[in-house]
Amino acid sequence: MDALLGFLFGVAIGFVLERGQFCMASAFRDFFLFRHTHILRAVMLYLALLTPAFFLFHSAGLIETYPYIKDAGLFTAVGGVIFGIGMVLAGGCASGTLYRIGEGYVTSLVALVGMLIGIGAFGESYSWVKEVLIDTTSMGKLTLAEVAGISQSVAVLFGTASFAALYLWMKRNFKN
Amino acid sequence: MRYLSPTTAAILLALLNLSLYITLDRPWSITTGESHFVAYVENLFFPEHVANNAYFQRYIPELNWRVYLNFGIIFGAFIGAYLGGDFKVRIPRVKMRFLQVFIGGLLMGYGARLAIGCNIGHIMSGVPQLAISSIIAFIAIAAGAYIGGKILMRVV
Repeated sequence: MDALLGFLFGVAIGFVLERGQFCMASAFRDFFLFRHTHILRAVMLYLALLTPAFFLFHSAGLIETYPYIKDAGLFTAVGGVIFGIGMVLAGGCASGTLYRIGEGYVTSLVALVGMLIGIGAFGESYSWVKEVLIDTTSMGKLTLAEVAGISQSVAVLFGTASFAALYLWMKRNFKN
Repeated sequence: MRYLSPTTAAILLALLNLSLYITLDRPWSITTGESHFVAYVENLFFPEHVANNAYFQRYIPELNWRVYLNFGIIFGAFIGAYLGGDFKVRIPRVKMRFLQVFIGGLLMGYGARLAIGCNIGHIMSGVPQLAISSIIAFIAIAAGAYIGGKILMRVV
């Protein structure tokens, strides 16, 4: 049942990603090279909508496990930079690679094979990386609210306002 | 069929991720499912090796809903491209492109698992929960994309 639900959610998401040409690698490329923010500001709108929605649906009892988040540490920053470089070279982010395979891009299929091998390589080096970088720098599953010493509701208000402000700023100051 | 604007796509994706979170109690991710898939494929050939690998004890070899979601994305994108008249098998003329995207893929796979999440798990699902890890990852991925752009300009 879960497998079928997962597949159906995937089909809907894939359809929207492809029809919207919604890719994070394109978003950053367009911003850094052409100062276009049409995708990046759509991401900000997405965050401005979903930040309060997750919180409100959790408060209403419709989402059980919230926040569902990961450990933070130096490895987050190092991994993020490696991923960012990779997605530009691969010509698509994790989701962009998948939807472009559906469009018939052979290069995206090669990129996906590379990704899977990269994941396997991480699995092989995991014990060592865990000892050297993960266990030594992990701060645990931190939220902005915990770090700032405020309640999640105030943090959500602050986050929503920040994403909305970034969206409006980009919309006003960039043509595309 | 016409394209959706990025704004419309963003609103629809927000609705879909919210529905997914309500239905399966987990927000959208991609490389977690891919890790289970890698474990599953490796397990077909080297079951003993996988059984002794600490990482694949966490990301066990199974085709769970996260794996099917990823297959679904490819299929849904195919439907979108086909209905829009945009489906076409595209092979690059410059063969070096294969090497470039393969190396890019390797870095993406390794980097995503080191950061415990890709652009989806972090930017699309962790940032709207205001996770420190995801806010760090968002900035780091942006920095990486900037560096990657510089590398591309120099090499290609």
